[in-house]
Amino acid sequence: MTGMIFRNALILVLLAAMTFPAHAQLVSTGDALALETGQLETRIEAFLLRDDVAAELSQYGISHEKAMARVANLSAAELEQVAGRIDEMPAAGSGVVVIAGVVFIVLIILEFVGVTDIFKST
Amino acid sequence: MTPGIRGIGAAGLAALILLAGGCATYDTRIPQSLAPRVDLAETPFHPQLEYHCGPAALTTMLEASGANPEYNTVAERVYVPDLKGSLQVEMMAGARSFDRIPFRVPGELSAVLAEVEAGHPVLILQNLRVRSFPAWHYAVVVGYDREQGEILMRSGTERVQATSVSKWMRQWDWASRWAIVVLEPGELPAEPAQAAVFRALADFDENARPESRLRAWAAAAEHWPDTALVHMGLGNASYELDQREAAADSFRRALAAQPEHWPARLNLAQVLLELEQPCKGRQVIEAETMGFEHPLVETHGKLSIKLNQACSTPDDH
Repeated sequence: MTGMIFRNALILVLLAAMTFPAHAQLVSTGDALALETGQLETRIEAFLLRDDVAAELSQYGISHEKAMARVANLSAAELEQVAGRIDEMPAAGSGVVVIAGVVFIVLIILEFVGVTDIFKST
Repeated sequence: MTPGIRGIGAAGLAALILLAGGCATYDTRIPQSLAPRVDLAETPFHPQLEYHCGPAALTTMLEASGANPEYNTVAERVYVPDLKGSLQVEMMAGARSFDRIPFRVPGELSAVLAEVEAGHPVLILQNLRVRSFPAWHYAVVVGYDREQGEILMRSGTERVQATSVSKWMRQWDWASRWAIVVLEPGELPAEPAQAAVFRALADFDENARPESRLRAWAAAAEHWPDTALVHMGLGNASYELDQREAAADSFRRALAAQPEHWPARLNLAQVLLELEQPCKGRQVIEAETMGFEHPLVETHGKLSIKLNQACSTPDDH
């Protein structure tokens, strides 16, 4: 119970600190949606991750300044998704390669294990 | 060779066949309800430079939605040099930064093709190898052919890549069936799902121009007129455009749809205060009782004090 009150108090403080400077006095639509889906707390915490994500991004060849500009476009849900695990996320960039090689190796292994023998013996 | 080793070989072969047979479990039928063949031939094409499938695919999507982005600017916003690729979340954020809205498409073949049939190219993530050794790739679905059983894409350096539906499903499934459409504010996906649309619009709301936000929420309001959130979105955008009367109307509509919607109630009261109607604002805020544990209780408290002060001055109305 005390824990709960403490958490709520924390949300209040964070909300007061975070939501209003940009958009005057109104409750934002994003906060309203988060409230409806019971994710207001997660949302507020996610915004606190912004600097961390920028720092992470800047380890991958992006200047700090550009990284800050890029994370400014990420929503709370997106920040939460990538924070601390950029290296685990799919970073798609590939052309088309290697798959033929993998198949070839599998075939060679099968060959050695005796697949061709099966055909010979029948 | 000994029969034992032969047995292992045969088992291996059987396992391979079984694995390959696994693909057959996908539903690869192109629904009869869709047109037999679609080719969005006018969709632009940007052959990718090395590792640049992200910026190339996103530029294609943005141009197809009527935007006119510089390829280099797109690359600067979504390419991560040391990862040699682009992250999904940045592809979404990148689209928003060009005043376009990315919507997630449900992970079903029929949902993707329905968008294509409606004229929306679909950006997908593919895994060109296997789950344990992935090669991620972005491509843009621009058509399909039911009779041939093929999906048509802009991909890599190929302007038109035709892939069999079963292979396409496997490559998409092994990339968690991620797909988005990128649309102009005011447009909705062909088969809009409320939760996905609200999520997309709320994310767009955070950085977009108020004019665009207004158009986006207006389209959602046409579709779901009885939800408070769409009117909330309209009200907040109107407010940013200094249209306080319109904002108040929108917040009133939100409350008509859902009287227990505290964000709309607080916003209406705040706007009435700014419109110099503090007593009306106080009525609005006092019409419902907010629980002490409500996350907006502090906003409520501060606003109540202001409304009380303003309402008790002699020239109140």
